[in-house]
Amino acid sequence: MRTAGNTDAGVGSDLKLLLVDDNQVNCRLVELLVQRRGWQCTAVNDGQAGLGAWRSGAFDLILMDVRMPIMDGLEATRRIRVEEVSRGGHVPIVALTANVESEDLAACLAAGMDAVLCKPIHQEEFYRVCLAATGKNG
Amino acid sequence: MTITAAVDFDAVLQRLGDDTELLLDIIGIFLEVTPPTVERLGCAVHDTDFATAVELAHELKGASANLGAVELRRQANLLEMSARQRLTGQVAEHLVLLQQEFARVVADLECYRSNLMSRR
Repeated sequence: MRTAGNTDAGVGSDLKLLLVDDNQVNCRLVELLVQRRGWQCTAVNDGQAGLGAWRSGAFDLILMDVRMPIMDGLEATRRIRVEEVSRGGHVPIVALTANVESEDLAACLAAGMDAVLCKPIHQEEFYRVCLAATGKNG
Repeated sequence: MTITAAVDFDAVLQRLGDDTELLLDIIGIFLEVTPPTVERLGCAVHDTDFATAVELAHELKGASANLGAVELRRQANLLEMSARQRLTGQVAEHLVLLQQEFARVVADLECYRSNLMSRR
């Protein structure tokens, strides 16, 4: 698990993100974008580690890759949603996916994800989707 | 025959809000992370370790997409699909093309980075 962040105050500086993605370049790009806003980011490389990080931390948002080793993003999301029934709360989960076919998007939403962010990442869209998913837009 | 650029810098910059500092950071990350991936991919193909080849080609595909390396992404995708079907001959052919394209991408990125930094 790797945590990155910027203590400088910025727009939405209280945002704590959990990034679950096995692609190193993608992870580092997201961490750069997050740091530029003064947000905090904890990164793990598979769904199982993501589930563990979610259980032990408090996050405003989870960015979840779909295809990963050990446990994919769909399964990790389903498990989080099941646990939330007894635990309470609802963490927004945004899918990170290069697959933009309608059935892939439908699978993300059916698993319990709240929104989808297409890869490769577009800076403006990244911030917009993160803020919208956490209800902190503007 | 038309030789196209290995990296579509205009498209990447557009996605990054014309932020050249961010682009330089991403170029640095790509040049740090992907050479070992390509090397390991070559070993996996040599060892006919298809599962590892699929995983590494998929990783390279994602990394290439972030930098607008369209042809490298395409080659990585072809290799991933061939490895998934365990097509030894095709996997080996795609590896050669992928390695050639990877060298072009690295050269483009290094040249672009050098030009940007010399203007500072």
